[in-house]
Amino acid sequence: MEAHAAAEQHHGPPPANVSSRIDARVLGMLLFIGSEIMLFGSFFTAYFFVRVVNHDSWPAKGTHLPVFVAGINTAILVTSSFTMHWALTSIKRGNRAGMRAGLALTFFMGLTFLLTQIAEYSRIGFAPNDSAFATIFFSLTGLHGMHVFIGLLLLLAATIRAFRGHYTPEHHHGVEIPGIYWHFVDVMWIVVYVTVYVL
Amino acid sequence: MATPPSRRTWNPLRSEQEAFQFLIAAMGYFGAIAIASAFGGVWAGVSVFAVLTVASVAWLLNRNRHLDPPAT
Repeated sequence: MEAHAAAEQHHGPPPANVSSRIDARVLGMLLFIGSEIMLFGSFFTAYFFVRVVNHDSWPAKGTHLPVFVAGINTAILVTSSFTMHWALTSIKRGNRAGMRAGLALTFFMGLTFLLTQIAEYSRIGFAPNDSAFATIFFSLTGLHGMHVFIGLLLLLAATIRAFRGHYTPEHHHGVEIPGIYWHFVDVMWIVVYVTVYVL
Repeated sequence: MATPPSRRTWNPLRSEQEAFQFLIAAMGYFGAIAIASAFGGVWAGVSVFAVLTVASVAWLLNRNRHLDPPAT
């Protein structure tokens, strides 16, 4: 009887069908990252075309990539994934201090990575319009840098909410979803670093 | 009811835990290729790339073969 009364009082469209296999918010991030993988794929296609098919010298004559500095930056970014994982593991166990520390450390390491990359750009000694190599170098690393910037915004929001007392061991999607994105950004950097700087 | 993690198709973007595992796997995969290229040259790198890629695909296919069909 009560259910019938509640149904009569309900206005608006019926609730959307929800899959029991995956949360709608996680599905949204999954689809977004899928589109990002395609975007990075198009940039890597251009990269391999310039490097392999176009027979340009690699790296272009007179250019030198700061492999060591980028390697340190890679270590910083990879470490930030571990602190991100620590943050989520902490909140799942009810450890708020661990979550806050993990999120703050992840944010500051990501910021360090981005600032180091900007400093690298200012001292690298070539411009995007110097050669095809320079264009694709700045395109790939710049695209990744933009993703780090977006990740930092997500992390900042999660960190502020964490310090305001949000998130519980049962409800922590606000940490989990930026975490998935942050690991994706890290994996993409590993691919960029190995293919552009090392190989 | 959610499917237990051990009985699901592996998806690196489903949860932070799986994304983190994927990151560790990517570090091992690309690290091995880079080390092989640095010490053994181009063809050593290509060989490690081929072996690891085939092994990864075989592991993935073998893992998914034993999973329950999706609940409908």
